[in-house]
Amino acid sequence: MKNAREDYDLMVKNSLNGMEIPPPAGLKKGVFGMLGRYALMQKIKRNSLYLLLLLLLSTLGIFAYITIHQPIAKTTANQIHNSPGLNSIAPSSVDKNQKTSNKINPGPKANEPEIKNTNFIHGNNPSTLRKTEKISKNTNVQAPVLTGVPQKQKSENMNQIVAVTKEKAFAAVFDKTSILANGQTFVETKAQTAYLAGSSNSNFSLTPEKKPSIFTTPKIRTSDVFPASADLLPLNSVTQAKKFHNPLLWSIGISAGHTLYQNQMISLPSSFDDNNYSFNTSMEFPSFSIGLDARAEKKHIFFDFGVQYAHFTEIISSGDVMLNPHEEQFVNWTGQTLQIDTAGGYYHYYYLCDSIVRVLDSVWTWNIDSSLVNNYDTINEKVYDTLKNPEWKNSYTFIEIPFFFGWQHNFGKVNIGLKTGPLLSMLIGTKGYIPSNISENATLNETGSEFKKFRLGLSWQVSAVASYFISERVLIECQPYYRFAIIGIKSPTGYTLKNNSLGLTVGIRYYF
Amino acid sequence: MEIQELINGCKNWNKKAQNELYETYASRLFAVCLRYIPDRDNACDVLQESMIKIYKNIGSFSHSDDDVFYFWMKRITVNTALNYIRDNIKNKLNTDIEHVENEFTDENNAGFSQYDDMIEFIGSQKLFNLIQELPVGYRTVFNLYVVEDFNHKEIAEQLDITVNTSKTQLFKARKMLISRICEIMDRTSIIKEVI
Repeated sequence: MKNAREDYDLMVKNSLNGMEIPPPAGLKKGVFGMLGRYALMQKIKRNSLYLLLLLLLSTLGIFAYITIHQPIAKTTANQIHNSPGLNSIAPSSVDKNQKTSNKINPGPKANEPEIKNTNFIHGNNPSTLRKTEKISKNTNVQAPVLTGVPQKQKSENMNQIVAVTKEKAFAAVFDKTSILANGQTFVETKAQTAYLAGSSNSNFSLTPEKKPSIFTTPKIRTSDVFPASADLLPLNSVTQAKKFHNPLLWSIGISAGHTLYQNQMISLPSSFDDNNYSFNTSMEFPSFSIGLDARAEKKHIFFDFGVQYAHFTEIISSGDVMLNPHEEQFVNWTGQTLQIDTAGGYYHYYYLCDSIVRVLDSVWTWNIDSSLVNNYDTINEKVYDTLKNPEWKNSYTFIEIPFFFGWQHNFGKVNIGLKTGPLLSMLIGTKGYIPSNISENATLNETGSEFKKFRLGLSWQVSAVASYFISERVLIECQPYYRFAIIGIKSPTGYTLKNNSLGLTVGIRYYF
Repeated sequence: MEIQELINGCKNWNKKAQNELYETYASRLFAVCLRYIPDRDNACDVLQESMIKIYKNIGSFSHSDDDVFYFWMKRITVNTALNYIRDNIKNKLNTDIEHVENEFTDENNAGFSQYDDMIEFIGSQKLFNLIQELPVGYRTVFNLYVVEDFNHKEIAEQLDITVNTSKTQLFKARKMLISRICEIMDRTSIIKEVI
């Protein structure tokens, strides 16, 4: 019964296997439409990495531009610094003063007589602006002209203007002040000396030039800089002052990290899920990274940008693999045939046995033998050596560009913080083998043939930052991190290379 | 175009090669789809999805043999069809047994002695239609076991059913199929007698 059933199965199978039913004509269009969309998406995906890189570089550029140029603080500070209010006035500098004033409140034209002939310039009714005048007179800083404005408003405007002027003076004080990494020491400059001397007398009169001296102060408070009687000081000048307590700091760092845990890095194409073949991976020493980065830091926020060399290794424990493909000849039994041989013959005599023996007839009879002969055919077939559950080591090397931003808080000599950001990875080399299969066993291809050099991937990293100042300018850092792949590196045949890992980085940083 | 040339062309996303691959194999694969999913619209969806998978993953195919290549494509198509069945008509894979168990009580009808004649008699197309008419659970197990050479354990894993369910479904599917074939043969012989 079983044989009959098997025959039946075979007949059904043969009967159905060759069947062809043409699909509807519209289906082809649908298939190729979807394929086109898929190809387009792949292109976009690939190019989006470059786009992202461009975007990040642009962001970095803008960030650097803004922080370096300091548009409000520096330009205003320079204007004030160059103004006759903080230097000895030469008569020829009046036009320059006018220019500065016009920027604050572009009132009068440059050739108006009251601008040229006065040391400080005010509105039509100077008596209403006594305080302003006093300060302006003492400091020789010009007050802009306010015309056609009600008296009360003028007074308010002037207050603001004086406040802005003081702000500028304050900015000038810190313009050439350098604050070291520990944020405690200031270098006193000519302008600062002049300002501090003036502020202690509740006016802005200048003292002669002083040679720079170094002194240490725990903190500069607004009340130290601005006299208590400066009731004209508006709130925004305080915030402006705070800005100058936290200048932009630049530093460079070198770091080295090692992976403590990592997930399987290569994954098979989705079509392989249907097969029984499987493999596992485990992390192997060494999986490390060495990097160099630059950091821009302001107050608690910092931005890291750099380059690092990363080398990851993993051990692959595989199911059975087939190696060493080669052609071999096999003898294929194709059935049996009946072979008939003649092995000679003999005369067969017919006798009549009587009292006299007489030969009546004789015939020649052939001896014929038949035998079943097996038929064979020779065929060439590709054969492999099977390797049972082998293990091998793969390694992948990347050049990575991190863009991190973070926040940190200072506790004396210790900084604690967090940082996160994308890591753009470029594959520069691989070693090892990758399983390639269509059935239960796998064949092995070299990783180099699957993952071409210079392919890009994108990861995201989150790190905790703990650092300790070992001197004024140097600190050591320790950063446990977790990174995960957002876009893996794909091979043309559908393999994906991704790195999700947990590790620890240590490094040293120098502040300029 | 040679098969190796065709595969390489598809690997490089060559449109001409992709077109030729479709023209060469789509009809055979559509027949595979229809064996599992008799509804033409749904079978079209499955074929479309399968073709996309084939084009996407052809890079991982490293052989150059026509039969192996067709086997690989058929495997993808069968898996896609099974996914479709699992997602859309999963419950029926188990409930069909109860429904049909009482239908065939006469074991004699299920003799296996005259299959050769029967199958030759009804022809491939009719057999195909009869398989399509089987309940979904029977049809799926029958196709997997008889045509795709899966064993019961593999079928059980694929369809998320027990091995015994798979065996039962196959047995019932065979009986049902033979019964239908017998019906057709009887009808034909009656007609012949009348004529």
